[in-house]
Amino acid sequence: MSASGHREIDHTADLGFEVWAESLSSLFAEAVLALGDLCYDRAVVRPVGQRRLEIRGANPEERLVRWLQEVYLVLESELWLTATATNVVVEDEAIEGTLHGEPFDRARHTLHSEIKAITYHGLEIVQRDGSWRVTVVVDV
Amino acid sequence: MRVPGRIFASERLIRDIESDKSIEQVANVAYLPGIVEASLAMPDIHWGYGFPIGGVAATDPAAGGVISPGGVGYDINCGVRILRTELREEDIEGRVPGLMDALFSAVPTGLGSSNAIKPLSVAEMHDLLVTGAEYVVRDLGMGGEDDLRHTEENGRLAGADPDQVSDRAVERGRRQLGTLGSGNHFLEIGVADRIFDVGSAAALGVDEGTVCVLIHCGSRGLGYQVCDDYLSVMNRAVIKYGIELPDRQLCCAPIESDEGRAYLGAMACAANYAWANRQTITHLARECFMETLDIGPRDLGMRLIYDVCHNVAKFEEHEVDGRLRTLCVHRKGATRAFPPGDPRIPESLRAIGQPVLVPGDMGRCSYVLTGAPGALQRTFGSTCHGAGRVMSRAQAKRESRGRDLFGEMAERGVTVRAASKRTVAEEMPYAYKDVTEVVDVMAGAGVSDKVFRLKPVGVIKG
Repeated sequence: MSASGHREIDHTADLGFEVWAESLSSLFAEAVLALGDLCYDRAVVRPVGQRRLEIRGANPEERLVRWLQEVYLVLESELWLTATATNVVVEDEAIEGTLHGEPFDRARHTLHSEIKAITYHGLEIVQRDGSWRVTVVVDV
Repeated sequence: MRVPGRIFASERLIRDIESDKSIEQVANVAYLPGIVEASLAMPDIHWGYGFPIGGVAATDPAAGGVISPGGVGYDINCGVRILRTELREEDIEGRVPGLMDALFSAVPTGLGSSNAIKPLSVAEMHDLLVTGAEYVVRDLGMGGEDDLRHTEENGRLAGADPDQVSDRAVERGRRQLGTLGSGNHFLEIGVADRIFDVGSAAALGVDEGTVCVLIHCGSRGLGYQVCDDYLSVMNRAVIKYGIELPDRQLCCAPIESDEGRAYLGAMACAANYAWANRQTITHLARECFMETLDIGPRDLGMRLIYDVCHNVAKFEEHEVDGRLRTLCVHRKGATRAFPPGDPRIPESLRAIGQPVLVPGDMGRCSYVLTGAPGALQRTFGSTCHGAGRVMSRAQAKRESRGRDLFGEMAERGVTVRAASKRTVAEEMPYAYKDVTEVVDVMAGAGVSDKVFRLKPVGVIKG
């Protein structure tokens, strides 16, 4: 298994994904990719534009939920698709990072399901043997 | 557990129910402060966030009863409406693909769907959040007073307080009025193919062969945002009020508290947005039918039979231990089902009972029921809301690989239009329980009676 990655998981009525990475910052960046793969065909999204995000949260789980909520809102409200996330810095109460992507183009992009929420269901960021992991369930 | 858990099911359905953790969730709900009589579950129950989907719980405000956003769900006032028409099945023969194209173009669907109508200003949004479907009928001129009379609560839930709705939620709502969304939401043309109660069906303007339109959607991003916002508030409230819960997803606050009142005020706004949304889509659907078939409103006769919400908490009077009490009835994936004669249903429908709309999967059938006397005795006037999933979305997608899903649906006689092929894969009929078994359980329990069945001929998915 590579140092960082993600995969979709089974979850009755909803959808979810498991994410792993070598650092907390990489975990947050990788989670953006997982969310993107759930919502659209990310492989063809070109990282030509940028969006800077900053959020605050009391603990790592809350920061992850809010981070993904912000990424999703950029998608829903602006129809702006994220290809990758870089320069992700996770601090004690805040997180910031840069999204790279482009506006939705009907001719090239395929959208999948809308998401109602990033949930806290079973959400626990675990660090073990130099690897960080988390499972995120989204309500669709 | 403060009260027992009670699940309505057949032997076969209970086996499906046992396959996820929803029974444990029924038990967890029974711990809520102020819960009355029992934590109930309908036969279409499946796992949900905190509360199971298909759960009903009544709490007593006078006995420290709580309100829980997880008992309402993310999609506040997700619901269904059904419209009947003067059209017969033969009138739309060969016209369904054209109708579906027109509807698919007029009603934005799928991720990011917006701008069905001109975006609303913040001031207009505040009016809409208080007046609900009334705003669409009276201010936007879409639909008539008859539509309001045939909507639960007349399409306007009391107690709405826009000041309790975040700016972000309002912003998300400004451009999404008249849009369907995705997931299990749909717009469907169906034909009544089986009548179980001829008298009641006639009272609803339906007989065998009547063309109907079903609309299933909710409060869109505004409702999701309200739920998200208040889950944070309620997580803090649980600590503040020392409420002990087996699952933090049941987070809640006493109804008689600042947090409880704030959520209820915001929830009513979201409920009103959902009714306004379904009313707007109704107007767009009427226009599509008239233009495509080149007929006028009289020949179309697209009249609202009824509109029900199946994700909401409402204050209702119910008799408990021989005493009439005002309770906060949480229905999450459950439908109100008041029996004949109940003064809370419109006069024109009082003789037959409140219509209940239970959509099945997009390939099999849907049902129109009416509430029966057993509902007030056994379920706080509630019944089922749909088929309920039996297969995860990821599993349904795997099942669908390499198959021509649109072709399979066409073979069943159903024209499908969809914003996302993946959503169609997730929503295929085999991913759901058979809705007939679900409605039969509730008929057997004397809670709701079958009036007619609807077979789909055209479906729009998000």
